[in-house]
Amino acid sequence: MIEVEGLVKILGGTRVLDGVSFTAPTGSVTGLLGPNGAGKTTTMRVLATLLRPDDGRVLVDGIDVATDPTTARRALGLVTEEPGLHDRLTVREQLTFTGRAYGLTPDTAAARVTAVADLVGLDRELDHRAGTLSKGNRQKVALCRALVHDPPVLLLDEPTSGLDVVGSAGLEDLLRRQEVTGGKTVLLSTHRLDEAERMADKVVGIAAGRVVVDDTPEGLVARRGAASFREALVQMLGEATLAGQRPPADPVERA
Amino acid sequence: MSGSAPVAAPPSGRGEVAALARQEALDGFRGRRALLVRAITPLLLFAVVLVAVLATRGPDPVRRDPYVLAVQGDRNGARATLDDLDDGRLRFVTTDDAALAAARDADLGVVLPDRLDDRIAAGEAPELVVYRAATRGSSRAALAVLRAGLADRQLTRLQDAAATVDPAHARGLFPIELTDVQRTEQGTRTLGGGLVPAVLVLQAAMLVNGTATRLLGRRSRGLLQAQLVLPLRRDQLARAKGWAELAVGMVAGSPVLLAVLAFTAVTAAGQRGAPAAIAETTVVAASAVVLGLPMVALGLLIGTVARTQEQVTLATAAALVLAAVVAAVVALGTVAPPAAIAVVPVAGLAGSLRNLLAGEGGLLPVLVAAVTTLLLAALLARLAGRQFDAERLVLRGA
Repeated sequence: MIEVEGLVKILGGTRVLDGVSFTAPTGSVTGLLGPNGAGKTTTMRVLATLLRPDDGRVLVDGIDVATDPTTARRALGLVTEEPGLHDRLTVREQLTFTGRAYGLTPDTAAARVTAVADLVGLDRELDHRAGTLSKGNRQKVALCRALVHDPPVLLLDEPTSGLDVVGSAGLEDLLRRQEVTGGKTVLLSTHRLDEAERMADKVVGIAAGRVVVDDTPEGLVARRGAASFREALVQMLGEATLAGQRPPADPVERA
Repeated sequence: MSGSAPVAAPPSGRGEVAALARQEALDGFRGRRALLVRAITPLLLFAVVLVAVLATRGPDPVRRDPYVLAVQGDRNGARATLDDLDDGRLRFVTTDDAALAAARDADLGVVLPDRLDDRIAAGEAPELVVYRAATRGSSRAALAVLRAGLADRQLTRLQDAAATVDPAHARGLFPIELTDVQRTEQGTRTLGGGLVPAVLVLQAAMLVNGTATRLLGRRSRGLLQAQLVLPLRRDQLARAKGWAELAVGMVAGSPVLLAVLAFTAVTAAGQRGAPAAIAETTVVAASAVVLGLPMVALGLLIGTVARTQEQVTLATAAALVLAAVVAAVVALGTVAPPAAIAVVPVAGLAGSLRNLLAGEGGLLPVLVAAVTTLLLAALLARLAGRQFDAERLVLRGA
């Protein structure tokens, strides 16, 4: 489970996150949505212990990321838009090294590498160098790297961004498979509303550094009386953004 | 994929650091083109430095100090001759070993025959044994001044011979047996004592750029971000990267390092036997590693602080210039550094190693210098570790 309470983050004098609060339940996919510059990536980075919160409390699997970041990192896997791979290492080598860096024994790491590669369909590329792979497969390697230590929390920051339609659909199918993400707390940051609608059990919308939506996709559509999820969310986020980057007095529409 | 609990073991630290270090090192070893460039660059650099050093060692026409001639042998018996030669440009100091003095800091070493003045008065032509350092401009200039003085003496003798009509006085005077001390055992030792630490310092300085450039590349390609979410403390992350960069740098610098070790071993074995060769080669190899550590740590610091490749280039160029100064002044300078230099990191190790290899210092200063250099490395690594926590490492354009 992820619990974010009153999260504030100031970057370069700008209050990028201004009291963000939401929860992402265990065993479900939570979509983190918002326009460019809303604070999605900043939120993900705070959760991933890459940025320190200036105020508020952030718990990942019950671990406070501000006070115990090293332990929190053991509980999470991160996939970002940029896979960030060692191009000269084979897929097997980088996954094994990552597993060892998480404290897995050599045998356990080898078994986990084989398991996650099978899971995402990379078993035939295991001994290929990462630099020779397609962008879609590189992103799959990044997913394997995030899964190799079987973390209870998976953070996906625009994982399909930059992929073509086929690559994007393939990765999305993977992420929807129970064997891959089942039982985990998955937080998916994306600007693709259709992707969020298909994958997310609940959505958290951020605009101008504040949470303006915290609901299920169906609940949001019903509450707004909109024709579609896209229409409902665009209305909400658009209103919040257009209101001078300031959300309404009671900003959060909750389920 | 239960997701209920991570399969990762509780943190032990060392194994995780070793895993990341191996990963980084393997990636570095596989970059053959980059390794080749890093192997060739020092060779070009050393050629430039050598030319620069030799250029600064040419004769100095405006030199104010007299040239120093270390005189061995019967100085009292040569007092009149030396007084004649002393026209303010030559200064004579007494030594027990003219060759050794010439190899170290005297401009020339001269071995006087017994009763030189008496033998000259008796019409003999006694031979002078002169030691010079052929590559030192001051030594070559001192020899020219000495030859000129001797020629004056000869002219006077010829004039005396003409006046007294005593052909005995017209015989050839002062034949010189000239020896280049740099080709003697001591000369080789002194030369090696300077060259070896100079090359080690310059080679170590190459690690700064390699480390900083690779780290900046990892930042821009998102690889560092992936490593920052590993369950390691920032100082452990810095340590893992540091060891990997040291290993890659040592392999890249292996042509130079192996040449230095071979030179040390061959010269020591030929002159002082196998045990000395093993001991000196071991000290040189250990010094290469010790000198590399602060350079890698500095590279990590630059790689985390700098925001652009241009900044990395500027900072590493400054580090290289400092290393060149240490090499030229401390390792290759004409005056041997004092033992107290051991307390200065890096430069102290270069100076102490020079003295040890030249037979002018012991092992203790080298050990002291190694400790101070390692302390500097630890300090820089600590600073670099803190920088790994900086938010700008993950903020694009920050």
